[in-house]
Amino acid sequence: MCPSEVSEIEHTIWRPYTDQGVMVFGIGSEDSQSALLNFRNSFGLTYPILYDGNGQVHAQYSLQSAFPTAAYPQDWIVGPDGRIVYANNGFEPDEMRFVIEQFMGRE
Amino acid sequence: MARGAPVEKDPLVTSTLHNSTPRHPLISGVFLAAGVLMGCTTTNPCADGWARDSAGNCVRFEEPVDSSEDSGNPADTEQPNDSDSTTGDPCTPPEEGPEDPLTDLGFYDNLVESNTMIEFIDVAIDSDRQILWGVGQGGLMAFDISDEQAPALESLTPQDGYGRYHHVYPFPSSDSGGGLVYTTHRSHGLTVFDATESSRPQELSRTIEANLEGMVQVGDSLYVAGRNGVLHRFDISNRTAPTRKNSLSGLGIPQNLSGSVEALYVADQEQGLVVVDPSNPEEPRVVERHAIGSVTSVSHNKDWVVAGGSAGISLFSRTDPLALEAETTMDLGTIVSDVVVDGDLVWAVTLERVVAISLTEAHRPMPFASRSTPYWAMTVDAKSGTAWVGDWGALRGYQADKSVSSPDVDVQVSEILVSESGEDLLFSVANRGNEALWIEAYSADDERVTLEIQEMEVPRQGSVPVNLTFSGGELDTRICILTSDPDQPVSEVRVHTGGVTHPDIGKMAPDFTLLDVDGNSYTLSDFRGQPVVLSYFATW
Repeated sequence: MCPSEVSEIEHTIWRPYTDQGVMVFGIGSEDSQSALLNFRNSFGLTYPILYDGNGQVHAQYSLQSAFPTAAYPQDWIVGPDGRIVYANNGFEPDEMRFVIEQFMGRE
Repeated sequence: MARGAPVEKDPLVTSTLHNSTPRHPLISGVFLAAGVLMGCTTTNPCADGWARDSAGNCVRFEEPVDSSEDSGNPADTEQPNDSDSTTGDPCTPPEEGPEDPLTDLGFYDNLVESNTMIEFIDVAIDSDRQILWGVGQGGLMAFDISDEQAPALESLTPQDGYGRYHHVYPFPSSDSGGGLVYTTHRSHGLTVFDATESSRPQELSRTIEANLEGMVQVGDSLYVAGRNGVLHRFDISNRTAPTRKNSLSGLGIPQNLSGSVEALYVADQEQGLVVVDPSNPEEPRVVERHAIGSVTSVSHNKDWVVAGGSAGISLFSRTDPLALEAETTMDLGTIVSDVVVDGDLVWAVTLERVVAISLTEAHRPMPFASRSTPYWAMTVDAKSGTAWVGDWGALRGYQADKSVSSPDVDVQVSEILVSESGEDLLFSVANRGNEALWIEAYSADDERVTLEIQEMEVPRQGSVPVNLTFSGGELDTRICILTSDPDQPVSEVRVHTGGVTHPDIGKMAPDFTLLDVDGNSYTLSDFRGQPVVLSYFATW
């Protein structure tokens, strides 16, 4: 469910970890720019919402082939070295926090 | 007390573990609640009645007096692994056990097989006609549920354009609108279908109102939640041609509502549970706001209002319908997606589970039955003890029997990532039920992994920690924990190094530069040196 997912990213990932150096991007490629803007505003999201209008980034991340469905959300975590460390086609905020915490612990 | 009869083999759970292919290896488990404890190296003694075996696992050396039935358990004689407890292989559910208060009825997931995701957002039971109406990605769906063991798709009416119907309301046959079905949509607005023939619903009209969500009928008024902070009132004295009359503004993000002529209860993602007095339909007014976090759904009966959301399940006494009294809140461990009151039962779905709660002792409501769902459970409707749950891929029926009490234990982790240099960490086995439960056995397939559980008894509404020690190297193994929970006796946890099993893991992330909705430019590689979360989403 999108509403609770983006709220949960906002409140349990972006806000608690942004001071510790974690960056969060929301990326939309299936909605218009204005729809994304309205969505951002109505949910009070404070992390950047990127507009991937031609689906270029979406394609780069090879989601169609990597995941059995093109369903949303798709969450990825890129490590400090620029490598993909986590990819999930199901929303698992606790797992994402777990992965993020691993970086916190090693720094 | 330690263990009742041996635990029943639960067909749903075993199929989840062994037969089905989850959409993603991570999605089948319950939520990850592991906290890493660095440098914890103490070796603790086993609990009373247990001893450490050569592999370092605690095993029971003293059988409880009522366990004579166990001798017939084939797992006992096989003894596949020395590290297993004497009560059997923790990875294999025992043969028999207490009755399960939740019975699985039929399910429908053929749309998934044909590669069209259903993705239910709302379901509503049309009990007069034994039809279940559902809306979601696919459009408006009608299922014949006269045979509870075999729900059948009668019709699928796709919606045009982007987005999805979000809520559905079939009029009862006693109403002059009997045979009609309303749907709401974030851009189509309110759509009226003539669904006299459920196999062939015909669109009659639609009003273009943006951001419409849940709705409730009160006589000739239809109140509809509008995500943009308003509660709309439509005049539906002509059921086939609703017209919007007035709106109550000042709400946050209303998502759904419940109510009657006396009071409306609005589930608001920002403001919590909002109580609205509709006695003057021309000018409904807010009389109460209960700030209980983000509320996604609400339902009520004569005595109770039940709200579901980020806080779990919140129960309010409705002695005065316009002045609710908070009774209690029950944490289900994660956000509640939908909730419905069904007599003295409450059905709730989280993304991971369907839960039935008894209201008989409303000051102390207890989940008495629960089941994990393989896909995300989004929505539930229930009548007379039978619930239909719509998830991402399927419609599933459940029947609850309150006379059977059930424990409810969860191993709160499905997958653990460990470092190749070795690691000590803790996770927990939690008991959300009302009876003490026992950890019957546990094992690790790989000798480099040792488990320590000091307390085998998991107190009601409590949890016990499990200490996992990994000596290092490359690892991809599983641990199994067998408990006395009839719903899910066996919990498997994958323990591995090297990150999640996705083909792109470990590859360099493709770089990109994109503008955000405010026009600022962001380049991924500028954030080298810090972890970056990329959350692809769609607003529908």
